[in-house]
Amino acid sequence: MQSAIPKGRNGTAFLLLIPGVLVVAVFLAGLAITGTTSLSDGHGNWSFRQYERFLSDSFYLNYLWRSFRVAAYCTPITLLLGYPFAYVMARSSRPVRLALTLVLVVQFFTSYIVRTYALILILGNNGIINRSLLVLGVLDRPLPLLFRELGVAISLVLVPLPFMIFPIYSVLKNIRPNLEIAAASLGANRFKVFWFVTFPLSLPGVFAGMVLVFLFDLTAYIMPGMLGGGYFNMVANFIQEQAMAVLDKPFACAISIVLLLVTLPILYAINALGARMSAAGT
Amino acid sequence: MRLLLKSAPLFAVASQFLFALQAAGQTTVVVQTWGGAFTDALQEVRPDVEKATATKIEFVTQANSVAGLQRLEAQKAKPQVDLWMTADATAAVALASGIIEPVMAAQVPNMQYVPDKLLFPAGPTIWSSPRGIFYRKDKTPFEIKTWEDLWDPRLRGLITTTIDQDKGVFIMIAALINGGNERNIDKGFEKLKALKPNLGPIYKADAESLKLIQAGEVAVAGYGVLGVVYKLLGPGSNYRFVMPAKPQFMSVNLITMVKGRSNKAEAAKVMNAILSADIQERIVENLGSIPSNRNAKAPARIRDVIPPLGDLFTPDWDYVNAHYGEWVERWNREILAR
Repeated sequence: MQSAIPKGRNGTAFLLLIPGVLVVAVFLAGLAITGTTSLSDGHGNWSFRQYERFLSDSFYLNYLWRSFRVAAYCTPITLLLGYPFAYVMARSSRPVRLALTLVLVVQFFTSYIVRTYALILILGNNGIINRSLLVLGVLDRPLPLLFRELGVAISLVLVPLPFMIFPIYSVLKNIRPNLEIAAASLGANRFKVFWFVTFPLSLPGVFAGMVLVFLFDLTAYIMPGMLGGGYFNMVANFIQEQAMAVLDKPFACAISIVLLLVTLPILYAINALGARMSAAGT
Repeated sequence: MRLLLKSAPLFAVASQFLFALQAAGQTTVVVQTWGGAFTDALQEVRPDVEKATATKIEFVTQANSVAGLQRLEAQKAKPQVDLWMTADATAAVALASGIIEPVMAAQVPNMQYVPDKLLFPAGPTIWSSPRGIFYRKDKTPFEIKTWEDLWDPRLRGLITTTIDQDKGVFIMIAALINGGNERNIDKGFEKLKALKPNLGPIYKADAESLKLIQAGEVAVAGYGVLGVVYKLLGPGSNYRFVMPAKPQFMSVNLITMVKGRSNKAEAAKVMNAILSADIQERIVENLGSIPSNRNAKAPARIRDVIPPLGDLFTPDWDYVNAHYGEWVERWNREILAR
């Protein structure tokens, strides 16, 4: 059996592995500290008390449920908005593609706080949408969009859009045009070409984007914190509050571990489904 | 002349070298403080403090006092900070955990100019920040004067407030005006339940309170930090700040000495310089706070806003720290749950 790495390059390859190993080691160390801290009863003794406390109180569990529920419906909506954007980017001329990429990159590198505050100026009682509808006479009083689930959900669709668009775009860009031309030459209309050729081939990007957006939404902290107005905190807000305000680190760590344990099978399922559908599509 | 010109670069290099040597010989004092306006205000006086103390000062910022505490806890085995500026409630926690140590008056002569009630076991007060109510007078149907005014039904949905600021002082204020106190906090929650119709979004960070008013989402910061709004105040301004009596409260910020550092003498010198009257005046001018050195004057704009100070409300922070978690839980369940 021949090694993939030419002789003499083993040392270099080993050196190149070091940064990755360090990243994994730091991640695992953090996880280990979180895990052990979660097993403290707060008085230096080992205990499952923090887990019992969290899992036995429906008020606490509601933070978790709310986060999964919002992530579960915001992710497909982000896909519905992001896919056409990625498709247009992939199929448009170079100047249009550059302009669209620029829009996304600017959004991507703008701080979440700034973007979230911008949403207050758009969605608020005094925001662009409400003022326009009031001026047009569509409404006689502002529509309450913020400081409730709706405002948080809108932000969790709009803010992570680049995480959905870029993976889909990168896959769409690499689909060979010949495949679509061949389908069209065999009589398929544009919809059929898209539905039976392009879309199945783009599924790896779709699932990658869905995983990224789902995780982003599930662990969102700034958007629910600012746009929920305190009335729609999600699990990350609750963890932050316990760790940073109440200073109950064992409890905060226990909730983090529960979140991780519940998330992992869901991610595995999405990835497995993605792999199966991608294989079927190709 | 030619010789002089030729040797000029040499002199320049030599003087830079000597300057670098001198700088290298100076002890660096690391000061952990809040970012934004706080660091800006301290950066402004830094050259003078460095000159007066022959030290080099380095600032590291913290998002808030608790975040600062957590960083110091993580560094406890090998502290990286000499002086820490923090809220009094958090300082009490840090002192109890052995992260900071008491400051000796002998090391910091300017502490003699700080009133006794502003000297704490954890350290001297560096400045005090008045708390009260601030609002847009053009968006508020009447002039707000007292804490009780917040319960006026005409303010329906117009108020933002918080319990994150100052470890739930807003709950304690509600308790105090309802016949309770921090040890009888049920009175506070009873009163806050009646405030629910008037509550709009709840803010977390103090700057958010002003942003919500500026965006037109609310008109009143029911528990407001003067420093946030004080640069907007003035005769022609639509913003008003009121510091109601009964109870009057000021957040007290301390400068503390971190335990386990080797350059305590230099840190004490820096602390002393920061507590000097002229440096204090320059800092509080930028922050909208009240200096702790009795020889320093509060900024003119503050003197117009702050009424004569009576008996300030000082919570029993040890009790508050022990019960704050329960209060947060009750706040979430009883006030915020819809």
